[in-house]
Amino acid sequence: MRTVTVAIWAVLAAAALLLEAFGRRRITGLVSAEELIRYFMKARVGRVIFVLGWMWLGWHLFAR
Amino acid sequence: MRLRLVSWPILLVAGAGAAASAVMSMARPFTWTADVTTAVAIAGVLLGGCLFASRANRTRHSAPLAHPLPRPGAVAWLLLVVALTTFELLNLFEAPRRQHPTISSLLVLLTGHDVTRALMFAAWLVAGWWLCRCR
Repeated sequence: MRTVTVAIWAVLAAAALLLEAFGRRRITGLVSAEELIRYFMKARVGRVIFVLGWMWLGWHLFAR
Repeated sequence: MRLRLVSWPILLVAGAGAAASAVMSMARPFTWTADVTTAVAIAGVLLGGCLFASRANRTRHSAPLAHPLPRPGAVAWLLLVVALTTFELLNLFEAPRRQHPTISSLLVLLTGHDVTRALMFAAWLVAGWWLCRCR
């Protein structure tokens, strides 16, 4: 079961990398993650959500 | 003539980030060292990022108005985020964790070693710095 789960995670990671690569080249209207984040960061609520998410990620990975 | 490649505040920030990453490489989760290092790093990035951003805003023209995202791009990322969240939740509520690893349990492979832990911490700091300065 672990192998299947890890394989699915790998497929999702590969999809993210492909999406990012296509987005950077603007293939068929796709956008990069940076462009997407910049778009949401224009709004105050978007900024708050991303910064809180960043804080939680650090706390979760390194402290707890 | 003196060549100035980087300003001293940038050097200071980079040095502080490197020092924090070095401390974090030796700290383990659920210890006060890890708690304090993470908390100080968050405070430092937020404070430093805000200071730098306000300084940059004084010299920079206002950001252009947001244009709508291309629909295929927005839909593709939305689908990926939904897939990642769904699979993460499915694994989170399954047991045992070894058979159903979540993203964080897979990342333990990296955060469990000193060097990769320091590199991941440095990457997290850079991401926070970028978010604070992102306009």
